Amino acid sequence: MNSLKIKISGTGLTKITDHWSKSLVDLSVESAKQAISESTILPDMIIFANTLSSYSSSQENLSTIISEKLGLSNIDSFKIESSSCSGAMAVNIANKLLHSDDIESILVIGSEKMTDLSPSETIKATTLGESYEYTQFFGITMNSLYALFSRLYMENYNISSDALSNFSVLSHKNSSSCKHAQFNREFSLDSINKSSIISSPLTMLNCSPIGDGSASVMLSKNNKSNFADVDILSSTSSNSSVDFYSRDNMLEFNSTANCINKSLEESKINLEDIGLLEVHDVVPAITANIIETLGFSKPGSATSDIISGKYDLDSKISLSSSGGLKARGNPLSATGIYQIAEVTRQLQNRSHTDLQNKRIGLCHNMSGIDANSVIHILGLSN
Amino acid sequence: MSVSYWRNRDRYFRIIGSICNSCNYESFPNFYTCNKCNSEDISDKEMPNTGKLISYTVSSESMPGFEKELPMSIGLIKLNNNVNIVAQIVDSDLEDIKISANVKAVFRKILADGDSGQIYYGYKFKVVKTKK
Repeated sequence: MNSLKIKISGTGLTKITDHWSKSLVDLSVESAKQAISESTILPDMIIFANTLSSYSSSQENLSTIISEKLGLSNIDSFKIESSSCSGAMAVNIANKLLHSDDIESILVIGSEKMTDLSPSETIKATTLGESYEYTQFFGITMNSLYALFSRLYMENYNISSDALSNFSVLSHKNSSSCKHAQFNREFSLDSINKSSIISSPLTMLNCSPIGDGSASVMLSKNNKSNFADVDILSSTSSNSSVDFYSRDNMLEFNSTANCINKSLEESKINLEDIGLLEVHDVVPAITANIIETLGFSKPGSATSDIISGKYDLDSKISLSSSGGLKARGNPLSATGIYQIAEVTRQLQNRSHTDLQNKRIGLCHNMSGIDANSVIHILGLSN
Repeated sequence: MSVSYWRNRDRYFRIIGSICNSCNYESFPNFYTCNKCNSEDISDKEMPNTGKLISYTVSSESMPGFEKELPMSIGLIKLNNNVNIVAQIVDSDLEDIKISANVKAVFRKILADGDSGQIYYGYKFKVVKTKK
């Protein structure tokens, strides 16, 4: 790809919560209008990221419906689906398209409506990205797959689930003052470990919550907003197998590993340059394995690193500064776009935290257990 | 559901995966291209019905139709040909569901379409206690 750097010229976020009074379209329009307003431009194209609309809202063709509601016609619009990394995947595709001559700006909207379903339907919804024939058919849930992985990780590195819960402690601490986060409160290690079991060893406060939300970013070749220039320094994706148990080494996250290698090459930066880190922190053992795969912690040492404060908000590298999937929330296809919008606002010093001297952030979004991974590295323009 | 069940019933009844006829790599579920040697010369292969637990969980939440299974034990099993499979663990005491426990496949009802609809069958596993 040529050396052109695409800019994040507008961001929009809704609070993540039970939005019973708002539809998928309502939420999408809300975040999209914010992003359009911030950017002060209108898009040439709309890409909608979503994975549950057929199941939870009986609706498809949403990119067209949302365009119409925004009063934008005669533009290109379509949907990207890649399970829970649909959001980052849509930004990845948008970034590629913007390297062509005839597109100046793309509005990427990621939205998910998860609370219109019954509890058991919601559990099925979160498992739709896994094999229907060999996982869903047998009643095996996404959280149970995370639990099977978690025990493998714990056995391999001799780490207790109680110690892993320190990831949840940090997430909730960071989201306590983040207005758009689903949880604005802290939880003690003890209360996380004593919360009800979802799928052993995972407790409820180890698992990312269910919530509705929408996030949008305007990507463009030029930044006409009032905020500092934030460039996409790299945008990469890579896939692996959907059934994590069919891999030779189940602790190897090959798609994440391939992605970070490509990202460092494309962005021409080093890991040490990264000050803000957002990963797909859906349950603690997955978070730990991602951080180790990315190279920020040695294999098996992410938990001791988090306990020692290496990833605290005021450290050289801040993890999940808005709470991550655990505490900001995880409205599947919106999640990857929340990460990018949050890091953009952090870099521009207009977030809930006062993090100075952070110039580069990394966002890692994935589907399933490293089935498909997307990494964006964002940086303030010099 | 019934058509995909009908299509897969042999795989569900006898745990049929695939074997690569070039390099003998086996895996479950079935595959079309060998991810070891890229060969497309693949045949169906019945998996062994015994193995060991390498991870397990007890779920307190269920998919629609599985409410009566709660708490639902699920195992990650390394079959005796080194192929991994994820399946429900039944007919076993909770204290026996642990790493390295020997397990064997059993044929069980998976789900039913309501009170008068089709009944779906397939594999589950149970712990086999070794005599001391």
